[in-house]
Amino acid sequence: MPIRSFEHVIPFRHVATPHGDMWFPLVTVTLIQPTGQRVDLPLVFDTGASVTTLRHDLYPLLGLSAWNVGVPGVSETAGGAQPVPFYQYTATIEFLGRAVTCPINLMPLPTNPLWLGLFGRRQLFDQFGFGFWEGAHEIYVTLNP
Amino acid sequence: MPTTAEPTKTIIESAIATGMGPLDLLEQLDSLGIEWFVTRQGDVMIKAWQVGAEGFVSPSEVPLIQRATASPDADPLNWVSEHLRELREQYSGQWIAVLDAQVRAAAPSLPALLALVSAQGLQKPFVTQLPVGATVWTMTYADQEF
Repeated sequence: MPIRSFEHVIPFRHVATPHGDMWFPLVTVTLIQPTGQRVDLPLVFDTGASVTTLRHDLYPLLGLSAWNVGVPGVSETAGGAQPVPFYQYTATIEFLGRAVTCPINLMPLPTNPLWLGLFGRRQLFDQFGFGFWEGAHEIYVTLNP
Repeated sequence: MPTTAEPTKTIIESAIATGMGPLDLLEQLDSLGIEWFVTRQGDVMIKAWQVGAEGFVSPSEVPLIQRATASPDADPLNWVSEHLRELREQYSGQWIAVLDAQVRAAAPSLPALLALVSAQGLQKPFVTQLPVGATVWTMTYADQEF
C-alpha cells in the first residue's frame, strides 16, 4: 500500500442550514485579475468537475464585458439532469501560494455565499496532490506530488 | 491591519482631495483597521508595517505559518461562515469584500464592489455575494433538492 504525505490540511466547513448541519469541502483560491489585482474566492473542491468553474456573473473578474463571449460548451453534469451552457476562458489562480494558469468555465450556478464555483481538475490538480477524508471532514494537500 | 505607509498615505491624500472632512477620514481609517493619532500640531500619524527580512520563509511555507499562527477569524471563509446569519440580514443581495474579519466594502454589483476595493486599496479581499432568497445548498452531483 503506498504511503502519501501532505503538508496541508483543509478542514471542511460546518454550516448550520435550515435543513440541518452540513459539512462542505471548500477551498479559497486567489484569482489574479487581468489588472493584476487579486481577490480571494471560495470554491467547492470538486473532483467531478473537469474544469474549474465560476458563477457566470463573476465575468468582471476576468476583465470581460459579458459572461458569454468565450469558447462555448455544454456541461452534461453540473446542476443535475439538464445540460448547462458554459463559456471557457483562461485565467491565473493561486492556491496555497502556487499560481497556475488554467481554463476557467463561466456557467450559471446557484447563488451561495460560501462558494462561487467549483475547484476542478484540468491543469490544476496535477500541480498538487490531494487526499480526501469524508469521515474526518478534511482535505489533505501536498505541493510536492 | 498589515499595511505599508505609502498606500495608506495615498488613500488619505485622495480622501483629502475629494474634500472629505477630518472626522470622516479618521472614521474611514478606523474602518480599514489602520491605527492613527492626531498630534498637537494637527498632523495625523498612521501606524505602518515595515519589512523585517525579505524572503524570510519560502513561498511554500507561507500558508503553513500563516495558518499555524492565525486566529480562526483570520480565515475569511471561516468568518463568513460563522457570521452568515448577520451578514444575510445586513447585506442581502449585495456583493461584499471581507478582510481581517470585517466587511470592508459592499455594493449591489460586482463591478461596483471592485471599484470600491480599488479605491480603498484593499489587498486580496475575500469576495462573495449574499443571496436575496433562500440559499441553495445542493452540490453539483447532489441527489436531493431542498
